[in-house]
Amino acid sequence: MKLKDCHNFSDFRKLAKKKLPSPIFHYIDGGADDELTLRRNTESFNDCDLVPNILASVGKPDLSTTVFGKKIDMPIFLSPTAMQRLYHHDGDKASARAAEKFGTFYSMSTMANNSIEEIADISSGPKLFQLYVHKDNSITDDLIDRCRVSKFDGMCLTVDTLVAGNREKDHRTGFTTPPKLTLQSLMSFALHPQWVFNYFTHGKFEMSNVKNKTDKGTNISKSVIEYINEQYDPAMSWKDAEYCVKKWNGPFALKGVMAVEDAKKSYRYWVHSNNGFKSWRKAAGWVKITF
Amino acid sequence: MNLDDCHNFRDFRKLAKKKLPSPIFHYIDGAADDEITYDRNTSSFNDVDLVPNVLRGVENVDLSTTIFGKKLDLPFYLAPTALQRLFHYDGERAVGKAAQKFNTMFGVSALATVSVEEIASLVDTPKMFQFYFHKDRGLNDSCLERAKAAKFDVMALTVDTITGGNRERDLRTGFTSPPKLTPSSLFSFATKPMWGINYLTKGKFELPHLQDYVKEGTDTNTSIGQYFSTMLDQSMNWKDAEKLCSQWGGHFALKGIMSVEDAKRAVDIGCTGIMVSNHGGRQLDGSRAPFDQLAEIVDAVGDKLDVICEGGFQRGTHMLKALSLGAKACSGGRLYLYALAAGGQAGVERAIEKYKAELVRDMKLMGCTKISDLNRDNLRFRR
Ligand SMILES: Cc1cc2nc3c(=O)[nH]c(=O)nc-3n(C[C@H](O)[C@H](O)[C@H](O)COP(=O)(O)O)c2cc1C
Repeated sequence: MKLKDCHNFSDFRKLAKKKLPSPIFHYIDGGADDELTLRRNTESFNDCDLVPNILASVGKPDLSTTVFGKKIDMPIFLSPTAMQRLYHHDGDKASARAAEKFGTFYSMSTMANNSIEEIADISSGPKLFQLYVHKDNSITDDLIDRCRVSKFDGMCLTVDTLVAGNREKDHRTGFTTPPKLTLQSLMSFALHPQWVFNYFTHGKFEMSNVKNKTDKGTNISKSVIEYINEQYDPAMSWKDAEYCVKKWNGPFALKGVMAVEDAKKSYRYWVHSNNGFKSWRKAAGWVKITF
Repeated sequence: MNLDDCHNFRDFRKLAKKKLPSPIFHYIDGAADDEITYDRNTSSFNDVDLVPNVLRGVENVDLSTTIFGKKLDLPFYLAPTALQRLFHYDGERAVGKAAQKFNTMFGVSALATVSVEEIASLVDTPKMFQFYFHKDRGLNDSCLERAKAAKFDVMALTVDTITGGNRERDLRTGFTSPPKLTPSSLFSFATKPMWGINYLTKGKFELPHLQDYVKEGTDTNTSIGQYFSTMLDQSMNWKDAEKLCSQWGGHFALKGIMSVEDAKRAVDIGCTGIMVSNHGGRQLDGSRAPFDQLAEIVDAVGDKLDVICEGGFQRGTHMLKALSLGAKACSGGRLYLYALAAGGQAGVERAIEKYKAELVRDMKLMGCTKISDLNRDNLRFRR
């Protein structure tokens, strides 16, 4: 099976499964607990039918839309995801370049393996940074300042990851970052020599954005769950969000809003504290994917 | 497994699968994307139950219905489908003659493999010509004039193929027309030698309505998606349809209407019928199923033109449900295509015979003797 045999989502998934050591595949593929919500996320689309109109002289449809004050060429963009270098040795560089090519947003996770500066260097396309509020305030400040210097277009604060979800597949496969070789996972890594080769020959694995601030970013094999629980501030409140909004002073979204009440509250805060952040209001409520 | 062993839709499908090289089978059997709409086209019938009436004296059942001013002996007809000689070497000849035997209508596709002139010489029961709106206006005029000269009764303009659907099975099997031998498909063709022998010995494969105009009509291997996307005119609009309707000057239908708004406009431009259809789920996956959308459309325009429910039919009871909701007739493609592949004209006749027998039996069990006895009181929706 090759890239040219991939015609849809499930084909890409199949090929990824072939290429990745299983702990890494399941880190991408898994959801929390019984994965009911993971399944429902896609199934929900099937409870609704499209009613087409015909004879509409369609010609070439314009797919562009405007978010975070930026016009993008298509109405979908790449959500921030952690540690892309585990999936392919080019990591965030690959996804940033691809997004730029199609004129849409690339998003960088706080837990990316490329630095804010590195990505700003290789891509002039629209860029979004995804922020976690760390217990150590200076980490958060540092990230925001660097994004401003590197001219990121927007910022989103992830609010649905105060504590890590219960990703049972990761418990079973023993997923850690950087990958730790346990007896259990050894087999799977051994069966994917190409991945292992690329992983070790394409530069050091690190969480580039936080590496200077915490040793957790680098050497010690931590499960993602432990990392989240140690570094992220579970006491994060609306005040913290407001602090970030003010500090960033640009298009800002909350990522992971579900309740109408919270969506409204995002708007109220916007009215209170800022006048220029239209996209906060727009963004609240539509992004709901965890990292 | 023989034709004698085929008792229902599934049996015909199974036998067709045995007989056809896999790229061809999957061209018939497949649909767009995740095939969710394709599945829904049939499963939608199961969300509603029939409520029979009893003690009504039902020994004689009349299944006839009138659409486009023609009385048909059956309340369903055979939808136009492309490339039938790939499915069986007699292709449209077999389908036309079978339809004639039961006095029902059948459609000839713009992508038919037998010409309208030949069909007209073989079949004198009601016929529909299915029109694709090409960029090449000369080709459009030629199709229209030829169908008119051949005295076709109805013209149906297909409006749901403005661009090719994403038929992923075809991407995988490499289906093109005429069939192209690739290493991966070769094996499949080699394991169905009878199909290959018939294909090569029973006359040259052509697309008679297109071949004078385009290379896609004949020797070059083209995928159906390519044909839709490169040859059809994506700027087609209501004006074009209206012009075509008056140029034809007879019964005219739009095939592939889904919204009430469009159904009303069809009335305005002079259509005498519409097919509520999503092209058998082969175009826009996620689109509404014809049966799900039928009531709305019947309510809006059912008294002004013939509303035909098209797609998903596998059983007589499915048809009874659509007719009860207010469809004037039912139409289907795979309904007879598997049977065509399974046994040519004899196969199609057997399939029609089976559906007819089911309809008669089901009508009696429902306590109905004519199609107009069916109405919404016969139905209960579960939701
Ligand atoms: C193999 C195949 C070929 C088709 N070719 C055409 C065609 O050339 N023109 C057209 O308007 N519709 C075409 N259709 C769509 C049918 O007319 C009809 O809408 C569809 O088959 C209904 O769904 P059903 O197969 O579930 O009955 C085709 C369908 C199939 C299955």
